[in-house]
Amino acid sequence: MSTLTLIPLLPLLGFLVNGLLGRQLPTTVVSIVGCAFPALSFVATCVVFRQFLGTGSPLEDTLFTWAATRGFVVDAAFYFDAITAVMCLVITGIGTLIHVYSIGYMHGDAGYARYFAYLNLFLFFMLVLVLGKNLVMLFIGWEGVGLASYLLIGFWFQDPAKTAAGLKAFVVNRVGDTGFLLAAFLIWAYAGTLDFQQVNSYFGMTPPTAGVMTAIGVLLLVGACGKSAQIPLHVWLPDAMAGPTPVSALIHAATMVTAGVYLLSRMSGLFLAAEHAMTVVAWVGALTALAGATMGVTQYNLKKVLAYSTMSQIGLMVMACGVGAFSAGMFHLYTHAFFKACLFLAAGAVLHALAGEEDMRNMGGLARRLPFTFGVFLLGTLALCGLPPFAGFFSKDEILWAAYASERGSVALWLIGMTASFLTAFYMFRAVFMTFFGASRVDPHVSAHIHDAPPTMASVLAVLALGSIVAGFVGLPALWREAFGLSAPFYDLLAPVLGHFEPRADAGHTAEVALMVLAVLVGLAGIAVAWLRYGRAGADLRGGKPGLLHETVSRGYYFDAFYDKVVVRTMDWLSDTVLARRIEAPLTRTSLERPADAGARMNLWFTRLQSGDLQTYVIYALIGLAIVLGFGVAHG
Amino acid sequence: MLGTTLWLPWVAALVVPFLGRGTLGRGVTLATMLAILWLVAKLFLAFDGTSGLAQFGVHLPFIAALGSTLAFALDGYNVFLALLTAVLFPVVLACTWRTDEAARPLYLALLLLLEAALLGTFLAQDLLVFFVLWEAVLIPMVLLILVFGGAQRRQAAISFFLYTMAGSIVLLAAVIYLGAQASAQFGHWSFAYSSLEALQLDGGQQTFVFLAVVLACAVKSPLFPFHAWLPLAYRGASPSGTALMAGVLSKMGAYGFLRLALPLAPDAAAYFAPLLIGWAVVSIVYGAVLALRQRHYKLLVAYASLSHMGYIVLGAFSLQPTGLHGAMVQILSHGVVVAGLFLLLGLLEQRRGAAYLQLHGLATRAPRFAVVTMLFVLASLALPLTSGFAAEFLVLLGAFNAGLAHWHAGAGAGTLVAALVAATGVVLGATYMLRFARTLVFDDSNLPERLDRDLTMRELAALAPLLLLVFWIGVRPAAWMNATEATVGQLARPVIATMVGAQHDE
Repeated sequence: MSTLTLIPLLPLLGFLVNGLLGRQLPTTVVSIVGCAFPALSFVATCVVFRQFLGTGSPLEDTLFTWAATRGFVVDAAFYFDAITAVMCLVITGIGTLIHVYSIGYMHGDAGYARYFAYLNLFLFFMLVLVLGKNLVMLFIGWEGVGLASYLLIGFWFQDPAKTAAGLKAFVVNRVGDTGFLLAAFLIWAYAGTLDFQQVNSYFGMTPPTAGVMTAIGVLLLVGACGKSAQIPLHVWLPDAMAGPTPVSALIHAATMVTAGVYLLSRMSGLFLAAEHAMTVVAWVGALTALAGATMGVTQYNLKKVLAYSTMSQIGLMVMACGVGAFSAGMFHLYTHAFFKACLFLAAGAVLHALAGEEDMRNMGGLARRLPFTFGVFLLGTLALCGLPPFAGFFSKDEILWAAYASERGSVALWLIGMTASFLTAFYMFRAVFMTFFGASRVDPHVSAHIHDAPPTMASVLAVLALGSIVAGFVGLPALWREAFGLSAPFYDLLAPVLGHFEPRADAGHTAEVALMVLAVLVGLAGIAVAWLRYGRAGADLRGGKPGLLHETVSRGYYFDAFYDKVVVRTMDWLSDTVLARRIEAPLTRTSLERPADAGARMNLWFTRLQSGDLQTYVIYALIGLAIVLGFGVAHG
Repeated sequence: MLGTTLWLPWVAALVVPFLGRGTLGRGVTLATMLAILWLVAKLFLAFDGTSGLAQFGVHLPFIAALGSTLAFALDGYNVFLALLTAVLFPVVLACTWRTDEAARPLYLALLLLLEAALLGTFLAQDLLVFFVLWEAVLIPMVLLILVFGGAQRRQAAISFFLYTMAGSIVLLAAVIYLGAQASAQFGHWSFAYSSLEALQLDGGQQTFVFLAVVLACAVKSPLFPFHAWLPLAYRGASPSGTALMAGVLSKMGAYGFLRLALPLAPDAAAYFAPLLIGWAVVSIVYGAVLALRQRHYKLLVAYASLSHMGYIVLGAFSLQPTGLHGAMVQILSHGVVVAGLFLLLGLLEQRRGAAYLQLHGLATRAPRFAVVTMLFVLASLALPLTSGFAAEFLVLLGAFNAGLAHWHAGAGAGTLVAALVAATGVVLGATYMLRFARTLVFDDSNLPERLDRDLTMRELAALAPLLLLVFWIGVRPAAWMNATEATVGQLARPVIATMVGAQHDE
C-alpha cells in the first residue's frame, strides 16, 4: 500500500478504534488516538507532497475496480495533484489542530469517544472526496461528509432541535447530491468515462452542444450549492451551529463547505467549455456573497454571524471560479481555512468561558476578561475583513480583481464583491465591539467563572492566529511580484492544473492599484461605521423596532419559511391527505377489506371467495383461466 | 452438491416435527440451514460468471408426457437469489431463537418448507416446475402468517393468499400456452427455459406472455396499485415472517421480471419497456411519499420496501447493462437490508411487545441496537460504501441512459422525465429513513420508556452476515457484478448503442 492511500486510511483507523472500543478506553487514550491518526495523516500528506514536488507529476494509486460492465468501468483509485495537495494540507493540517483543540473543549462530555470517532470519520470522507480519481470516488466522500456532518450536528441527540438540524443538513445536501448524480450520468453518457482527467480533456477538446454543457455545468453547480451552502441550498448552514463549536470550525474551515469550490476547480476543464454555466456560477456566487453578508449584519448570535460570513466568503470563491479565476478561488479557500478556524475556535473559547452563552447582547467588555481570546479573534477578524497585510487581503483582493478584470468578469460582479466586503468589515467589527468592548452585559453568575482558554485550546488558537497573519504571503498579487521581484509559490504550484485568468487588455496596472486601494478603504469604512454604530460609549445595541427590510434579511429572505411551509408541508400533505387517505385507503377497502362495498360483481367474487367455499373458487379460477387462455390462443 | 441443497430442507422439514419442543429441533433446523448456506456459498464461489450458463445442473424425470423434467441449476439469473435465500433463513431463525414460536416444531418445519420451495423456485430450469414451486411457496407462508402472525393475522393471510393467487392464474395460462407453442413448433411439449427461449413468437403472442408474467410479478413484488395486500400482510405477519416476505418472497416477483418477462418475450419487453419504467417510477415515488408520514415503524419500512422494489423493475427495464446490474444488485441488497430492518423491529417487539411502537431514544438506552439500526438505515437510504448505493447508482444510471437514448432516437422525453423523477427518490428516501431514525434511535422525549436489554452477542452474530454483505457489496460491487456479467449481456439491448456514436451522426 502506498503512502497516498494511507492519507485517508489513517483517520478511518482512528474512527474504527474510537468507534468500536472508545467507551472502554480511558479518556487520555481516546484523545491520543483521536488526534494521532489525523496528525499522522498530515505527516503522510507532507511525505506525498514532497514526492510530488520532487517529480512534478501527479501520483496515483489504483486499489481495485469498483464497478465494471461493458462500457462502464470505475476504479477505486486515488489521485494526488496540486489541487489535491492544497486541499489535503488544509484538511489534515487545520483538521488536526481542531482535533487538538477539542480535547479541551469537549472535556467531560459523555460522548467524548463518539465525538472523536465522528471527527475522524469526517476527515476520512473529506480526504476520499479530494483524493478520488473519478466522480464516483468523489461522490463517496461527498455523501460521506454529509453523513459525518449529520452525526456531528445532531451530536447531542437528546435535544430534538439538534437532531432536526442534522436531518435538515443531510436532506438539503441530498438535494444537491441528486444534481451531482445527474451531472455524472450526463457526463458518462457523453464522455463514456467518469475519470476527472479524461472528462476534462474530453469536454475541453470536443464539447457537445451548448445546451448539454450548460446542463452539466448547472447540475454540478447544484451539487456544489448543497455542500458549499450557496443559494438556494444554503439553509442548512446556520442550523448546523447546533453541533459543538469545534465541529463548526471543521465544517466551515477545513471540510465540507469547501467541497463545492473544490468540485468546481476539479472540473475546471469542463467549466471553461461551458460559457453559460460559468455565468450562472459567477452570479450564484456573487448573490450568495451579498445575501450572506446582509444576513450576517442582522444576527445577534455570535456563531451565526460567523456562519453567514462563511456562506458569504464561499460565495466569493464560487464567484472567482465563475469568472475563470479558479486558482484565486483555491487561494481564498486556503487562507479562509486559517482565519475562519481561528474565529470559530476563538468564539468557542468565548462560549466556553461564558458557559455556553451565544447571544452577543449578553456579552460585552470581554476584552479585559479574555485578553488572549480577544487578541486572536481580532487577528482573525482583520484577516477576514481583507485588510493588509493579513492573509485574507491577498486572496480576497485577487478575487475582486478577477471579478473586474477577467474576460468573464464585469463591473456589476465587482461591485457586489465590494459591497459584500464592506458589509463583512461592518458586521465583523459589530461582533467585535458587541462581544469584547463596552460595558459587560454578562449574567453575574456566569461572570464570576470567566476564564481564558486552557493550554490545549490556547496553543491551537495561537497557531491559527499566526496563520491568519502570514498565510497570504505565498500568493502575492502579480503587481507586487513584479514590483519587488518576488514569486508566488501558491499560484506556481497550481499553474499546471489551474491556469490563472488573463486580465482584459484594458485592465492595466493603474486600475489594479486603484481597485486595491479602494478595497482597503471600503474595509476601513466598514469598520468605521461599525464603530460609530456599536463601538462608541453608550451605543444602543438592541436597535429600534425592526423594519420590514430588517425582518426580511434577519429571517434569511424567507428561504427557510418557504421550504418549511411550502415544500415540506406540501409533501406531507401529499403523503397524508392525498396518498394515504384518498388513494391508499380506498384501494385497500375495494380490493381487500370490504369487498361488499365495491360493486355487485366484486361483491359476488369476493364473498364467494372469502366464504371459504373452495369449489366455487376453483370454478372461478378455471373460468378465468379459460378466458385468458382463449385470448392467448386467439392472438396466437 | 446442488441436489443436496434441494432435498436437504424437505427431508429436514419431515424430521423436525418428530424432535419435540426442545432445543434439538431448533438445533437441527439451524444446522440444516447452515449446511445449505455452506453448500450454496461453495457453489456461488465456484460459479463461472463469464459464461452465465446453467451450471451444476440436476435432472430428474417429472412429467414425461409434457416434456417437463425436474431440472435445476445455478445460472446468472438465480445466483444472487439462491445466496440471498440461503443467508436469510439461518439469520431469521437465529434472531427468533428464544421466542415461543421457535420452540414449536410447526414453525421450524414451515420455515424449512418455505426455504425448500423458494430455493426450488429460483433454481428451477423448467417453467412448469417453477410454477408449481412458485405456488407451493404460498402454503408455508400463509400458514406462518395464520398461526404465528399478529393481531390481524387471519385477514392478512387471506388477503395475501388470494391476491397473489389471482395474479398467478394468468401466469399459469402463459405457462400452459408456452408449452403448447413448444409442442406446435418443435413437435413435442417442453417447458425447459432453454427451449422456450428458442421459440419463435410473433408480436401478439409475446404481448400475451409478457403481460401475463408482468401481472403476476407486479402483484408479487409488488408494484403500485397491486400492493394492496402488502401493508396488511407485512403488519400482520410475525417479524420473522415479514422479514422473509419482504426479503425473499418479494424477490420472486423481481426474479420473474428478469427470468421470464425479458428472455421469453424480448420484443414485447423492449416495446413495453418505457411503460414499465414509468410504472416503476410511480411505484418508487408512491411508496416513498407514503413512507414520509408513517409513524408505525413496520408500515414505514413496508412502504419503503415498496419504493425500493420499484428500483429493481426500473433497472431491469432500462435494458442497459448498468441498469440490469443495478437491478441484480438491488435484489440482493434490498433483500438483506429490509430483512435486517424488520428483524431489528422484531427484536424490539420481543423485548417490549406491541409497545415497541412507542419506543424512542435507542441511542441512550441500547447503544449497540442504535448503531446496528443506523447501519441498516444508511444502507437503506443508499449511502455510498453500502450495497444500497451500488444498486441505486447503477439503476439510476441505466434508467437515465435509456431515457437519453429514447430522447435522442426521437421517441419522446417520457422515459428521461421518468428517470429524473426516479432520482427524487434519493431525496425522499433520505427523508423518511432519517425521520425514522430520528424518532426511533435519537429522540429522547419519552423518558419513562425502558429497554431492558441491548443487542445480545447472539443477536449481533445473527445480524453480522447481513452487515457483512451490505458493506462487501457496497465497497466492491465489481466482485458481484462479475457473477452476472454474461447474463446481463444477454438481456441488455442496445436502445441506441452509445451516445457518442449517436452524436456523430447528427
